[in-house]
Amino acid sequence: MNIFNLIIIIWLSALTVLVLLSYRTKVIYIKKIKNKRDIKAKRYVIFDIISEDNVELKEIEEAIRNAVKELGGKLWLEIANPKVIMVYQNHGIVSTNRIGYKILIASLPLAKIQNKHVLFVPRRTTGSLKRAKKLIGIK
Amino acid sequence: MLIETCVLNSKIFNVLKFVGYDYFLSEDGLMGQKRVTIVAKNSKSIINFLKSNPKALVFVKPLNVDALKYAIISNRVSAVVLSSDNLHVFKKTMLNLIRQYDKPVEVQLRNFNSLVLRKIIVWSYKWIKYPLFSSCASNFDEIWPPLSKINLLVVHGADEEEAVKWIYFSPQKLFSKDEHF
Repeated sequence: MNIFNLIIIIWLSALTVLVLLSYRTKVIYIKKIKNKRDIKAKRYVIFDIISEDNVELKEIEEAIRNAVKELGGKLWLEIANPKVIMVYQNHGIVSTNRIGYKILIASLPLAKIQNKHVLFVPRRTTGSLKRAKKLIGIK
Repeated sequence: MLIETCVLNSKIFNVLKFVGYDYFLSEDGLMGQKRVTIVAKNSKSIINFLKSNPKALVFVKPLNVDALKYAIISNRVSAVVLSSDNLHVFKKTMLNLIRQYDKPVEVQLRNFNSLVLRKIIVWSYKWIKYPLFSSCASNFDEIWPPLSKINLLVVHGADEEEAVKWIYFSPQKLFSKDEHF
């Protein structure tokens, strides 16, 4: 019986060594599951402002946040977390992330400012603020 | 060519151009192609209406199965309007009829309902070949830009490629009835 146990132990240890060796030499491919969608990756949405009235940056941000909340609820507002970075002439840049930029673009027509007629038209989405600024004409 | 399939006021034509649309259908008929929307309780009301309006594109919002059936079969009816009021009318047999006649189905995004949007997205994969999504804007701040429409559909569960196809190519069906694209 002791000899039988010894044989099994040797056989198992030999198998373990083989597996470890094959893993090192990449014979066995173990796929690491990664979440490729990096939540923190920033996105900058460039939009045009169509309005006959003057609109301020704070008003725009509040309107956009309310619109996102109206469409996606509090959950999506907190995920997208849209912030208006700047307004230059009739263009604006709003920051968000890779998860939330679609709901942000979808909710832009729902953005309303009290006693003012305004329409936000999404134009481009970029990954860097530098490029976004370049696209709206700031050098 | 991007077509906005419903505008209530033709005066917003300049804004539509700026937003990215090339052509539009208007309810007032002052500019662009004229369209008329009728709410039909039965097939007789559609027949009577079609006799009196020979030229405009006719969109029918049927409130019962009889009206829907006639609207699908009739060549003079350009599209059927789907909303939360008549969602219950669109049964499986009617959807099969829509597929058989390739009838476009329109959803108006003015005061849109997420349930209706979700339904038309699901049905568009199997039954509705030409779904239409129109702004029905009476003022310029009610216009839905094409990019927002696409993302609205994506948020509601549509594939991005399909959403682009529906927004860009489905409205062309209204102008090319016999051609398949």
